[in-house]
Amino acid sequence: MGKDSFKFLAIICLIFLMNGVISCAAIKPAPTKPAEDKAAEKLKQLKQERKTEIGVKRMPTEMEKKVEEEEKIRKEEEIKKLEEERKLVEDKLKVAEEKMKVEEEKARLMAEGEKRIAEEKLKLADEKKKVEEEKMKVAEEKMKVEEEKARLKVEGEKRKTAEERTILMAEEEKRRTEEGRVKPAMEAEIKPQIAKESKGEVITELEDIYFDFDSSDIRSDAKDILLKNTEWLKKNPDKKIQIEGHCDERGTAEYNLALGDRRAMSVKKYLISLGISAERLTTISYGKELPIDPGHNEEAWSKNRRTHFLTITK
Amino acid sequence: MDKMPEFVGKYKVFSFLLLSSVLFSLSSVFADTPDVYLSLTRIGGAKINIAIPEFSLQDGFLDRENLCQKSAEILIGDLNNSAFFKTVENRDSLRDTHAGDKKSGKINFKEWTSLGTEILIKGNLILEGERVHIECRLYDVKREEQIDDYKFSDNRNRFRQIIHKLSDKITYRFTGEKGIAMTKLTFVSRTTEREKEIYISDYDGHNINKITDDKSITLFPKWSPDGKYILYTTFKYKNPDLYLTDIKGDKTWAISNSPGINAPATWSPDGKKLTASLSKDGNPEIYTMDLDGKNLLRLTTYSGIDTTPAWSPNGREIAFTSDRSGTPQIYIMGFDGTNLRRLTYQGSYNDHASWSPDGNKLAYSSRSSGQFDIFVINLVSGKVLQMTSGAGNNQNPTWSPDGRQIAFSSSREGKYQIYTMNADGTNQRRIIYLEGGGYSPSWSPRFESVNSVTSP
Repeated sequence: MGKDSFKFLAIICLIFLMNGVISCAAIKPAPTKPAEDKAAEKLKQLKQERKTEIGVKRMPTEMEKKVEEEEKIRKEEEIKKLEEERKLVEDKLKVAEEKMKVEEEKARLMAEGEKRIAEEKLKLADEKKKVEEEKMKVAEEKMKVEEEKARLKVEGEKRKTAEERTILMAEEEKRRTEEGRVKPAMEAEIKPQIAKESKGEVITELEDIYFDFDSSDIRSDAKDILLKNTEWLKKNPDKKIQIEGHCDERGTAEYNLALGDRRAMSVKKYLISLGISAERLTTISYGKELPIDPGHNEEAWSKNRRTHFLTITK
Repeated sequence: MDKMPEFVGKYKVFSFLLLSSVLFSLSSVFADTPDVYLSLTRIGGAKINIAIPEFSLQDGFLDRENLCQKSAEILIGDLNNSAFFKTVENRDSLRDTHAGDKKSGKINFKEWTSLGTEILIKGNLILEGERVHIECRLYDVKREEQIDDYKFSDNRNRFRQIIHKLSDKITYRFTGEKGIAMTKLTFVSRTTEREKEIYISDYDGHNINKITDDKSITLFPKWSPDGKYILYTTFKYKNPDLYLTDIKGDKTWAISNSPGINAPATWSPDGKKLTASLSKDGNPEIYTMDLDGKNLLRLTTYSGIDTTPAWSPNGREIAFTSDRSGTPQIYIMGFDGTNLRRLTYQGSYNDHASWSPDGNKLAYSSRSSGQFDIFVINLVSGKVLQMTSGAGNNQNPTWSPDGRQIAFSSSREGKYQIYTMNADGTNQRRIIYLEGGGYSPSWSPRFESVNSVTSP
């Protein structure tokens, strides 16, 4: 037994020695020296960079933290103030919206046939109209000449786009009927909720309105145009319109899609406030996807920040 | 009788020791080379010098399509892109040494060493009807021995993909990290003045395919986490609606088509949920929903714009853009809308947050001095780094699945086109030129199930 265990020990020792030899051979570095040096240098560099980063960071953090915190508090206070201001504005907006609602209801009642309110409204409207008409007459006469020029141009362009759209629609309908069989049930379930297959027609009386950069607020010049558009809508009570929101090319496609939506919505709200029924107004945002002027300057941008109006026929 | 178990036990101990030590010594011999390169590449500094001469074609075949040169070029492009390798660029000496090897039937390791080569790759092509077989040997030049060989076969029309697959194999062999040469990009390009469609290309910009035919405006394609579907927005039905398509464009599904905008949208990291900006309640708000558009949960309640949601890789948070401070800025909230906080304070217009795959960084586009550039904010340190500068706008950053590259859309050469850069901002290059431009890229995940790196 003694001999046996001695043998085992000897064999184990041998094996370990062999391991040592093999792994020593194996550990021999494979890459060339320059590469090794490069690697070592880079490691050193990296370590130094880390150290300096850490060093630089640690020293001023306590000082900076205080400053940063103070700044943060300041900023937060500023934000709070701004938010308070905004709340006030929003409150005002709410009041305005409530007013709009009341007016909507009135309009509805009117449509239902309550003569008194209608008559009162008409009187008021007539009085307003008289004043406005007088103002407008002068402006209109000036405008007429310009408008006629513009109309000739615009009509040509708009006819083209309208024609293109109708062609597209026809193509789409073909495709839809073809695809109808293949399409999964899911689509069929959701799709009928909205009737988007309506056709658009450009009415030259409905003028585009324009916005400031990154804004969906209705400018004062836009209010005048919307008033005119409202007149047309009141004269054509059977017409429904779609309000297209557009943006200029600056900024991201994502944010601009949202901004176009806001522009169309704020025009819709404004038209409602002028007595147009919400049911006659739909909105769509094209973001920055359909510029009317392809230029890359303020002149083009100001033309592209717009809402455009189409009548919808089913 | 008593001693027997003791004896057996000793032998057991002995055989265990013997076996384990032999295994240990064997593994130390065979794992030696990759460990050295692994440790080198993991430091992140030293690049491996790799020589790739033209591939050889079987005897008696004319290389009409120039495949021998192409295969080397594609592989060199891939390995240089990966940022782990540096290819030996002296083409003439590469060709001469390679020719010398062919003549002598031996590899002249000394000469390869003198060219600065650490790893040598020799490839053979065998054409067989419509199929192509690729055989590739990897040599450690210093140790003067072959360390691996790979064989692939596929249809000839997938030639680039086979080389990409080889590149991913080599990357994995020397870095322990899965390559991205098999990944793809999806993006938008204009087809007419009023129409944009969704496209797919290889990660290097080759192999471009149009997958939608909506004859309308399509926007914001987003690759699903399993790589099988693309989420996108289409105006096909006269409203910005959210749709899903398989990557061949054969089938589409409507997801959300409420009145108003239904975009942009993106996936949860597990691919089971979506988050989108919808304006059905009067203004754009962030929602989450199931893949069928149901189970809507509204996360934001601000009366202005909340848009461009991006789900964090761990699924816990959603970054988005809001103008609640007066200008578009990026915010982060929990996936249920709680714990809202503002992230960006630099710049007057920040949008399009894109999480790095490890979740530690956010890339976004920010307007600085009148134009847009890509910035990366480190969510741990708060440090902000500017990635692009100079002419034109740079927008829509999207990370490669290994987090080492960022694709984006830039107008630096006029029209917006698709570019890529390393995640540190170096190596910026246009990878696609299309007449209709390139917008809104989204980088695919790795296609593990279809083309696993481990199975040849």
